[in-house]
Amino acid sequence: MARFKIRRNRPSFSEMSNVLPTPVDPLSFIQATRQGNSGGAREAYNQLLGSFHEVLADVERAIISIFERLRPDGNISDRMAMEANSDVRTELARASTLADVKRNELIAGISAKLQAMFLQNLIMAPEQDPPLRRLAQLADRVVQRDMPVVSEPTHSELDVSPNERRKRLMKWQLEADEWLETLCLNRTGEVIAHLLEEVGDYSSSWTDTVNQLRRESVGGGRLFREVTDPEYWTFDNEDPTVKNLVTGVQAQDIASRILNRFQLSNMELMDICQTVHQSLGGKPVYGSDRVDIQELENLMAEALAIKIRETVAIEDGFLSLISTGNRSGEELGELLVEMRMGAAAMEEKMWRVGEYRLGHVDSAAGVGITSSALHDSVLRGLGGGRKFAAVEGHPSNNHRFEVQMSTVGASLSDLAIFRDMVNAWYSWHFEERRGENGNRGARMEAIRKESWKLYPDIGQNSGVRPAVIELIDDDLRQIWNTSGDVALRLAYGHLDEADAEPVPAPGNGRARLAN
Amino acid sequence: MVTLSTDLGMIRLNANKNVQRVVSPSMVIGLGSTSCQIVRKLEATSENWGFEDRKNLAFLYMDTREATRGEISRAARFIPLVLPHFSNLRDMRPWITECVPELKYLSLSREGALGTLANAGVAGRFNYSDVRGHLDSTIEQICPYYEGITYLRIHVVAFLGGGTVGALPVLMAALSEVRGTAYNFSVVLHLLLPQRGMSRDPETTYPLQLRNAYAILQFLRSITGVQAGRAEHTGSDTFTITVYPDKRIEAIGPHFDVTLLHRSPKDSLPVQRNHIARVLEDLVADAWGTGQDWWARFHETMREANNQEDARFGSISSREIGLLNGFFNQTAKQYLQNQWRSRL
Repeated sequence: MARFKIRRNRPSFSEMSNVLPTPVDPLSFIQATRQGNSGGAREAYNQLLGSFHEVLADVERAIISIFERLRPDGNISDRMAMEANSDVRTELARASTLADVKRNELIAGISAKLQAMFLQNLIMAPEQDPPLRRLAQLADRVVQRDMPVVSEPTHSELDVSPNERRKRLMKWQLEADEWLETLCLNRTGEVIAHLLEEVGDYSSSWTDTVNQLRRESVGGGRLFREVTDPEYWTFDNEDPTVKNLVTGVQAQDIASRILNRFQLSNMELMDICQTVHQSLGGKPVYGSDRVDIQELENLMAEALAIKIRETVAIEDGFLSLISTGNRSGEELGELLVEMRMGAAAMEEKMWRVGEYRLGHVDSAAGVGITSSALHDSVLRGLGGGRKFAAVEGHPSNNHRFEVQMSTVGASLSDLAIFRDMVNAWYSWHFEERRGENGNRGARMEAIRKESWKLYPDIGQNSGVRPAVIELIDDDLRQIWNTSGDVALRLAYGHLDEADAEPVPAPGNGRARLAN
Repeated sequence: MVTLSTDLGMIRLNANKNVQRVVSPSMVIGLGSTSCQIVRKLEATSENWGFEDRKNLAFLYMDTREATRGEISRAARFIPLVLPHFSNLRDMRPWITECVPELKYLSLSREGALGTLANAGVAGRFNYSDVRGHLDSTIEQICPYYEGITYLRIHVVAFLGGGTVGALPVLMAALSEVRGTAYNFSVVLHLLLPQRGMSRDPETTYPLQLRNAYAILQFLRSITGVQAGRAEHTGSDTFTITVYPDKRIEAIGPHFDVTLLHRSPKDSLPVQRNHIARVLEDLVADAWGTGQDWWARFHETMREANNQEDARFGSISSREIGLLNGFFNQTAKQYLQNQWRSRL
């Protein structure tokens, strides 16, 4: 038989719901300023408790509707009593699940907020103690209560006079109400316990981290060396086409000027913390398994660098920023000349290709030199008129075979020029005939025999194979007639008079090679 | 001295998604393993761009190596340039006997003789319908005709020394056919030159790569309609090929608008991949930075260059700001050090 007994000082879910706040962010108290009022701990507690009440409000409404169905003055059947019992149990189970989910959500939120606060304070207020001591007062409120028993009245207990039934229903409802409130209190206690645990880790880690940063940032420290040694400000790239104009002492000077006018806003600070947090991939910034201090420092620097960079207009402002001082113009010019000399050396080599109208060389580009006007003026000053690689004149006199080579930075020994290609092609065809006294016809026969391997997509009678052979023939004649190139003649003999005669093109009886 | 990684995904931290980079819809085609890696790099970089830019871009991968499929994103379009078994190739259909007359003399043990350029070329002809199908659907994707977009750019990336570049003529023929439709597009060829230091065996492989490069360059020269010698066979920019099963394609020029010969500044595959991908990135982004500047100069040149002497052209001044990452990281460290030194 169920006990119907009114106890005093019972926690009431419905009463508390009326007085508790319903905050948008129940964890906002974590980042509240230290200048908050003395009731900070109580407010924090109420915010947490209020968030559980908010979650369970729907359950409370459902329970109320169950009891409304069981009117004191109406008939009640055995089935109605059983259903009411079942519904109340279901709602209480739902409440428990919802509260668990909310608890886990708050615990995760606490960790995220404390991590962010740790990073923010490291950047903006490293000298201040963690503003978390006030949260220690919350420990007094961590009380785990036994969950009260909720009656399960039978049909016979409810099938009584209306007045008696009203009393019994009221007591049953109060028990459910008390159960809900106790659930909220216990879950709030669990959240606070976790919060205090995190705060403990935070505080101990904060002291260690700050001490370490102090050692590294003063004279003799690692970070101090990194920012004061000009060597650390000199960067190179795997790509030698890239010339860095911002190096060494000059880079330090520019950085100082950038930082003099750099102000970090709260929004930017939050962005930085979020970026670092994402980069860490779940690794905490405090606690026993926290991230290494140097790794944290690097991640913070990378995220902060993005914000600093956004304050500097690379397009227009950066060049003016680095172009201060009496000799800045001269220094810039010298650097560009140096870059251009490297490019020009290769260009000279490539112009040999240019004789055969096959290529040109790319320009050099410097970091920070993004103004096209400056670039053009430097190129004009250094190289005279800029000739582009117009390779072949199209029959319609339009340039359709424009070729431009991106070769700046390539070593001279690795520049495959046109002649090397022809040599390679020729060698492949005639390697096995080296030293033979073959005439032009024999050579063309050899080409014809193997050309399907190189031009397989073009039909013998329908495609461009004869045209390609004609082009190659033209190339060979030009190379042969070049006084400086004897390699081919030494290896494969010299064109004799008979070679001047036209030779049938491969695969096409009517075709004749040009001479 | 500090050496930075050139990983574009990392160094371009300041990429602003709100900046519109791409105005002209562009399709980037990788032909061969090396090129597919470069295009993949570009595709990965473009994933950080805004939606408006990404919807203007499409990527198509073609390779004789099936393993390339596993190296690109799963959603990417891939055309394997594969052939049926050798025994099934020995028929007398024009699409194969016309280009490989010696096929009947080949033995199974010499299947490899189809090799390099020939293999890719024949495979390209065999898979021609796939190539056309993918080109059509990809263009439809980035240039919805019902939206009135009929202009696009096609970037073809190919390693001149490789074998798969043998399928380039087939691709050019397919593009020529597509060009004959309602779409108007310009074709930019990005050709990677062989480099001795990057050859597996500089003494034997490198000369063969140079041979391939020469062969393909000559093909490209010929289809520009250039005249040589007596001009008996040169001087026309139209060529014809037969594709599987017996279809004759008449590829009418002009076939491409500009060719860029690329060379890695260092004998390293990652450097080559990053370098070419960066140049591609600049050119694809024709509404932003270097790409905008380059295309403006290009159109100016095409308009004004009526003869060889007048042909002036701007260069790809690859605006490289990657090194500034190091500088700004140091500046950030300087900021932190200032904070900690003065406050602690």
